[in-house]
Amino acid sequence: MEERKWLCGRCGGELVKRKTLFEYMGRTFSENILNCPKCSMVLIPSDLALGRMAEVEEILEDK
Amino acid sequence: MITWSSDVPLEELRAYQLKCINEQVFRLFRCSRRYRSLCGGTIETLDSFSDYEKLPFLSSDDIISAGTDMVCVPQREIRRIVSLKTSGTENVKRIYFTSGDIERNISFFDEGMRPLCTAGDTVMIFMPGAAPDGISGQLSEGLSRFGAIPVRYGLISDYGEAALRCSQLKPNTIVGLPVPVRRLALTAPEIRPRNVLLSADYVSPSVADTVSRVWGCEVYLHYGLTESCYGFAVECPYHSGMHIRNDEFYVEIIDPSSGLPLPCGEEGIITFTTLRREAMPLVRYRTGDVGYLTEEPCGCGSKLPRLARVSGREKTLSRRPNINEIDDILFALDDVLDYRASYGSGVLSLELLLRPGAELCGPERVLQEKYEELTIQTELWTGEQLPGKRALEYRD
Repeated sequence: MEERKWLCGRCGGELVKRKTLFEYMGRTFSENILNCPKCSMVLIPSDLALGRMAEVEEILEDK
Repeated sequence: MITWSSDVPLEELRAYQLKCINEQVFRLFRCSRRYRSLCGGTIETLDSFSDYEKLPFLSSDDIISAGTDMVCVPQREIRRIVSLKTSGTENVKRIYFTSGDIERNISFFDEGMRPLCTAGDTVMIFMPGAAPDGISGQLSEGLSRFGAIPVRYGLISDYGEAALRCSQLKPNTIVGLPVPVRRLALTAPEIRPRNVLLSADYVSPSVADTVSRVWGCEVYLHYGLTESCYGFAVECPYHSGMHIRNDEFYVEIIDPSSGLPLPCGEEGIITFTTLRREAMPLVRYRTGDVGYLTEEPCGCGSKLPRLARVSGREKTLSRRPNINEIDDILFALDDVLDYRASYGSGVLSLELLLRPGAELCGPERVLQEKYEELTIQTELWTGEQLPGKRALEYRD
C-alpha cells in the first residue's frame, strides 16, 4: 500500500523524512521525522512526543 | 514592599499575605479545572484567615494528576520544569517555573547566604543540580551577585578527591547534603571551613553536631523543596529557627488527623501557600514534611514566626524503625561513616561503613536500647563505598 502523504499546514509543501535536531535545556538529540522542505515546519508524531521525547525531558528536568 | 528579610509587624505581614493569597487563589481557580472542582465550583473573596482555612488542601497527588492544568501562564512563559519521580510508582510530578519565580528564589539565595560568606570567599557546593536553573545553578548565581566564588562540585562520589579539592580551594563555606558533608568532615577534618550550610534532606542533630565539632565551624540549616523553587527557610547567625520567606509563602502547621492548623510549638504537617508564584500557584499545599514553628523572638531581632524544626517525612516517621531514628543513633558514632539497613520480621539488618582503623564500640547495644523488641544484625564494611546508597528498606 502506498504510504500516506503529509502536506504542510502552513505552506502546503509535501513533508519528507529528515534527521531533525532537538534542543532542550542545553542538550541535543536527533530523530528522523517529517519536515517541510520549504518552511521547515516539523510533524511530531504522538508516539515520539509521548515516548522518547517525554523520557528525555524527564531525564533532563533534574533538580 | 515586603522582602524576605523585612522585619515588619506580624499584623502588617498577615495583611500582605492575605492579599497575595486572594490573588493566587483566584488565579488558580480561574486557570485550573481541577482546582475549581476541588473548591466545589465556587469561590468567594477571603476576608480573613478563617475564610482561608476553609479552602481545600492540595497534595502531591493533585499536582501529579493535574499535569499542566495547574499552570497559570502561557507555555512560552515557562522557563524551567522540574520532573520528580515519586518513589515506588511510575508517576511523575512536574513543577513549573517562570523566569520571575526563579529570579525571586535567586534573590533569596543571595540574601540568605550573606551571613555565611562575603565577596572573595570560596563556597563549595556539594549539591545536585547541574542542569540549567537547577539548585546549584541558582545558588551559584545568588552567591556571584555579592562577589562570593561558587564552586559547583556536584554530589560526592569520591571523598578523597572531594577532600583534595577542598584543601586546594580552601572554601570559607561548604554547602551540601547532611550525611555526605558529615562523612567529608570525618574523612578530612583538616579542611575546617568557617561555615557549613546543610540542606535538601533530614538533618539529624547528631549530623549537625558532628560537622560543627569536627570542623569547629558554624552549621546553618536550610529547608527547601522543589515545590518552593528550592528556597524556603534558612537560619540566621543566631540559629534560633529558620527564617521563612514570608514574602513568598504563607505557612501553616496542620494536624494530620483533624486537618486543622496547629499553634506555634506543636508539630504537624508543614503546609504552605505561594504568595507570588507566577507559573503554578500552590494553595494549602501539604508538603508531607513534619515540623513546627516558633514565635520566640530571635537573637537577630525578628519577632516573626520561624520554622523551628523539620523532623522528617510524615510517611517515614509513622514507621518503626525509621531511617531518621537510625540516623540519630548511628551518626552520633564517629566511626560510622554511612550505612544501609533493611527491616522485616522483627529483624533489623545493618551494613555499616566504618572509618579506616575504627574500633567500633557496640552500635548493636545502642540500637538495642532503642529497639528492645527487635533483633539487630550488623555487617561491617571498611573502604571507599557501601554497595548502594543510605537507605532503610522494608522487606515485609
